[in-house]
Amino acid sequence: MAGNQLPGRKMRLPSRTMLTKDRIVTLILFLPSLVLVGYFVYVTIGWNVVVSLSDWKGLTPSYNIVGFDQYTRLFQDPTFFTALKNNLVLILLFVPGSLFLGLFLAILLDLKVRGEGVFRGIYLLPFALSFVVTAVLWAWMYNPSIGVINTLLMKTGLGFLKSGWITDPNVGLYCVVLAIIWQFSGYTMLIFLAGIRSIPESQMMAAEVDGASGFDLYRLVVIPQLKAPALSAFVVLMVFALKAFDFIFVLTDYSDYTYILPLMMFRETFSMNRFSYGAAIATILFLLALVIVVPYLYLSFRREKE
Amino acid sequence: MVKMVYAVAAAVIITALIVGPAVWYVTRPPPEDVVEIYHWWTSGGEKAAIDALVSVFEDKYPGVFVKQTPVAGGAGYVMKALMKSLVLAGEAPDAFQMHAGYEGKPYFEAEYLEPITDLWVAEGWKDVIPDVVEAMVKFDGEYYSVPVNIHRVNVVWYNKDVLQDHAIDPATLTTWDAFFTACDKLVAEGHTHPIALGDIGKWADTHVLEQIIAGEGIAFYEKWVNGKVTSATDTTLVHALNTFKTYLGYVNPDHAALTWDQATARVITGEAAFNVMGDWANGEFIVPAVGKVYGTDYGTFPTPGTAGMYGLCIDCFQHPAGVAHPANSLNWIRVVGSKEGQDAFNPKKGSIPARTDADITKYGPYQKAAINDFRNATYMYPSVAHGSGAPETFTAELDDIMSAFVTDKDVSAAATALTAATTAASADYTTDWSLD
Amino acid sequence: MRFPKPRRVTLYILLVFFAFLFLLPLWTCITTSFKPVHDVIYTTPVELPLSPTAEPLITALNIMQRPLLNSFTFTISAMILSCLLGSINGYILTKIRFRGSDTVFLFFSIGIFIPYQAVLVPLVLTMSKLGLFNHIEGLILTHTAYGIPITTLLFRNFYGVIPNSLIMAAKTDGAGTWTIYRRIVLPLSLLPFVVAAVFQFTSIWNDFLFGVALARGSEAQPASVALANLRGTTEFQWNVQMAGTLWYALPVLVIFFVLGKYLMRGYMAGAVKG
Repeated sequence: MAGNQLPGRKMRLPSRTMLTKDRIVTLILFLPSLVLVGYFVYVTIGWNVVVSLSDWKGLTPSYNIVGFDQYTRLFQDPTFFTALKNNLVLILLFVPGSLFLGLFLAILLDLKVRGEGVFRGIYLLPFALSFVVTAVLWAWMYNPSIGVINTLLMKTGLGFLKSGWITDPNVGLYCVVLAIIWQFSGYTMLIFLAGIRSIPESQMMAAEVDGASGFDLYRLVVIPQLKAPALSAFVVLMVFALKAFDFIFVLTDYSDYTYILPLMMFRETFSMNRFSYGAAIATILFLLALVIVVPYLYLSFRREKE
Repeated sequence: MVKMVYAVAAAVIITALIVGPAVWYVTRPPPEDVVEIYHWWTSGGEKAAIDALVSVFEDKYPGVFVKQTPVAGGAGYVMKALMKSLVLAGEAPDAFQMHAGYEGKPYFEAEYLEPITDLWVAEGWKDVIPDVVEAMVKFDGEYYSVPVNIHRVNVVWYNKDVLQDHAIDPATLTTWDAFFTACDKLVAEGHTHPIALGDIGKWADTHVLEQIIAGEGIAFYEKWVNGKVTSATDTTLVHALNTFKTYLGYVNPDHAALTWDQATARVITGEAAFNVMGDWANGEFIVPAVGKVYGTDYGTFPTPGTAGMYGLCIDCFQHPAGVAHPANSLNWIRVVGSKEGQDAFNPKKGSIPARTDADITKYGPYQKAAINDFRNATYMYPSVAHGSGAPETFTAELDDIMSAFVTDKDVSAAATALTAATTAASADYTTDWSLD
Repeated sequence: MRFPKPRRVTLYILLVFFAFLFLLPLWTCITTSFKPVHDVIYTTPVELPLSPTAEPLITALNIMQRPLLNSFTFTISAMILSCLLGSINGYILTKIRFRGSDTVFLFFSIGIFIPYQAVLVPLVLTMSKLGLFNHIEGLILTHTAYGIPITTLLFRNFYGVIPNSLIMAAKTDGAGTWTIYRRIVLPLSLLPFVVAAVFQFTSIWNDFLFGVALARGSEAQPASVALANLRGTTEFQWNVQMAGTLWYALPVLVIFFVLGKYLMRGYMAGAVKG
């Protein structure tokens, strides 16, 4: 037996007891998170599900399980479908919108720009701000009578383009989407830029030697390698697409054209005291998030295995 | 050099991170004798008003600190949601603001409120507060809260110059027919949209319909708020909706783009002649930056058909059950209901006191007129649009129905939806209003 | 990549155009913060004040002082705690691994998507039962708990990049879970800590809902709630409101500018590898 293997062997033997001790340490390290997430996430979700199956109306808690009545009602409620539709439109426009604008900005900044740091900082600024703040800022931008946009349009002789913006039922939802794209594309830009920068220089050189140049280089070499950052940005964007609650609430109140599921849940629960109905909406909202996020996690796992 | 900057910045941040929490910990106020109150009066005149009320309390009960938690957001929407969470968790504050009437009912039903009938008797409030107002703070014969102010809802605001220019005498506009004739005259003479409406947040539509229904007579209004208007072909209801439809023919097309105060601003500038709005709108005319004078620049008259009637939107304070400081809570309620408290609060808030014995000299010209109207009112009625007159579930539905009606102007669809909503909420109509 | 000259002019025009778009709302916020009431009415939001004054800023600071201090306290504590826990989780889930560790990861990740409005009632109830209602500790606990899922995700993606051989070598040397974490993983974690800390600081600092629900009076009131209260229901003091916004946004902006470079490096180092 070679001498250098002996210490290894020696370590192995006592390691049976050490392993168990180690497992205890691992468990102790892991326990706080398990307890916190288990309680704050799963117990509260469980509570929601229980309430959604109950007949709780009004302020007296009732946990009489009546089954899926609330869900049946929900699927017959046209308001629910309006809110669901708005929610999906919001996600479908906002998520790709932010990804594309972020990618575009990242490529612009990657073109050896002078003052890159300054531009990067500026583009990232909106992400640092709270929804409550950006909603107030955009309420002001969009304000039909004294707002920045209409004022600017008047001053530049484009007064005929004036609009009610967020208050116009036809464009209101798009205005909201535009504002949150504004807020998040800086973040996606940062992630994409980091992704682009971590592509080895040699690959770029090789492609250039092959005759690729300009945007072709990005289309053929860079973009295909940005799946990981795109996925990473996707999760964050989804979280905010589902949480746009504060933003819309401050900006448009309970208007029909921007009525989304979180708003509906909030109104049914707290304005109308239909706690079980609100809980059913919350459960659906959560399921919706899962339907969208599970494929992401699946993709993420599969990539790791590769 | 750049490294230096970063090092300094990092040092500053780290120091801030350590010093901040330390200072916070040291400067924490010691626990003291407090009364905890929640309200949604966060800024401007409203904040000044509640602060005035608080200082009356602190003068009377020195040593007791009033711990205010103002919660901003959409006329109390956020606070209403928050209060329900707090009450359910057993963390009700010592007193909290609410609209009188049905808004308090869920709390009463779940036994989160304690009756204060004894206080009402002891303080003699019954003698100075009108019956309809009393009915708005009572459930099952017991008193549960005390009103702090009254806003009138059935008010038409007009621009005096505009009416004078077109030779319209506001005193003659006592029926909707006369009102619409005046509007026709204004339209013919170049004022294409004589009525200003701003209905972001939906309730402004409901607000107008409510005044039209009141204009159909107090008996019909009573029937309506008691949940007895259940036929979609009810002629009075259809008539009211038709009146609203005609009304909508005169409003600004961009109403969905305006908040209520922006609509009021159109009357101030003379762009529009009329605006139907509660009398919190008075504040818009008299703020220093605008500086209009009641009776000179602008005036008011009751919405057509409601002369002698006073539509009520009332804020009140509750006395929740099982609070941390029950004695202070009762003292707070006592101050809220007192003449002194109300005369400190209302001049600043722009409302009138709920008591009929207020010191009228403390109030501005509009409020003086309103106090006179209030004292001489034949009928009073609780507002539905502002949560008092009808169950909360019905009111929320009504907002949706009215907001749809303003767009499609379909009278029979609105009548059907409205009566269906009434029928659906029939079990919740527990207050039997007696208004005449 | 270099483009020919005329194209580069277009490039800069585009860059400046976007910079303008991204700065415009913030610009109006800054100009308005320096305007007296008169200027707010008589100038457009984009214009500079006619007679600049610091009064709105002072007024706003007087109101926001205490809430800002509160926010600092719980934001920093919850940020540190959630980052530490996230880092440990990320380490255990990638380097220690055990049967079902992928399931546990899924279990954590799902927590990212919980709609906060839906947990309001049980949350207030829990805090009340724990005696943490209206205590800064309650806010710390809440933000830590709801921060764990996202920090775990961030750290896990990053630690996936650390070579397993490094861990293996330490294991053969007899190092235990904790020792490996402290001696090997933690020293390599500066960048992901920056990324996670900035992320957490931003989202905790910017939270409104938990703050308004779990604090009462002024002793634990967060800055976001105080800021919302600057807005009246019937009266708008735009200048004070914007000045408050500026104070409220300042700490986050400073952090983004100071740590921006590291943030970028952090993402390059592995946070985008997942």
